Amino acid sequence: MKFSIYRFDPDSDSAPRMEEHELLDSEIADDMMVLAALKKIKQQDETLGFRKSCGEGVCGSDGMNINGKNCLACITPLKGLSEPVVIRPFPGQPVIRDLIVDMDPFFRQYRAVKPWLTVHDQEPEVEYQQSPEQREQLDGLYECILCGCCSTACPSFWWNPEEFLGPAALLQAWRFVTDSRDQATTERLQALEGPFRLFRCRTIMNCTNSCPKGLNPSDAIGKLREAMLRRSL
Amino acid sequence: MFVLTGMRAWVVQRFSAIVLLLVVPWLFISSPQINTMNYEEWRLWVSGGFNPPLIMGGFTALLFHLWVGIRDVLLDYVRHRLLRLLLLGSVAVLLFWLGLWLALILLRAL
Repeated sequence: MKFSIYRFDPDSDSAPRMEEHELLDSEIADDMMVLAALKKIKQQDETLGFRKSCGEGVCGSDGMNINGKNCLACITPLKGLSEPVVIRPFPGQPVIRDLIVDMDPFFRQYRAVKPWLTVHDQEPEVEYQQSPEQREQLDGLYECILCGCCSTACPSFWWNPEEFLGPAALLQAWRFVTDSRDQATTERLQALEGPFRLFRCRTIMNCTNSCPKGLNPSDAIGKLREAMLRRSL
Repeated sequence: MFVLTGMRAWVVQRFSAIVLLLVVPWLFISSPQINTMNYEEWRLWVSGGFNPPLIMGGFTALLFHLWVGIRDVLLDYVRHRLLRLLLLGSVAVLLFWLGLWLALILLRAL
């Protein structure tokens, strides 16, 4: 199986290049994932750089662009991918080396939405209580693993990474706005006002298409807009 | 500052789109021979019935819709802040002038 892999080392290369690699059919199992293939290629060329950790689609560290789509290498099966398999780092992000990008802008925007519960009342002695219905509101939101596939697939995030929060951060913004225990809804919605933070979203839904966990940031952004509209009426 | 709002611009864009969806087809239907009309016929059509508020409302919606659309393109693609502000200002002045011009034409026709 043939692979075309993005290579760039800012310390030694003047420009990025695509490097061809090949794995024999005997080296490829039917249920093999892209991450396993990358590990085999790394055995051939140990200078190849990529992030990995759990290998099970939980840690979100091996996000990359495979055949034009952002996904997690560890849960993307090789079977069905057209050849050569073109592997690039996340688009629009500063490359540290090869397939490793600088995720600082992404996490900076994540932290900007204050992704923690804010409670103004006195904290309960035992626990915060929620009804099953209130808890259900968080389904499809809390499962985000912050891999960055969505935000780095978003053209608005490419153009304005410092100002537009991006789909991952906005999904988390809605996760706390809709949480019945959180008491900072007004502040959270006010913080999203302005032409950039939320309203650069054009609803092209690249985020939803690329989420490896099947979440829907685009829907969350729509609900944030609705909440802001309701509050302003 | 209107240029820097998010929510208001988003609402204006949606609202003006709905107005345009209603008014533009109606204007086309109600004036099938507008290309062959002389000035007097055109003046009678413009000033007749509900046409004055519909034409003014439709063009106002169009100008606001244009403003939000062009503003979004400039905010997306023009990175240099001063140049962005200059272009936004130029567009705002141009659209305001177009609105004023349209109002004068309609007022003369009434």
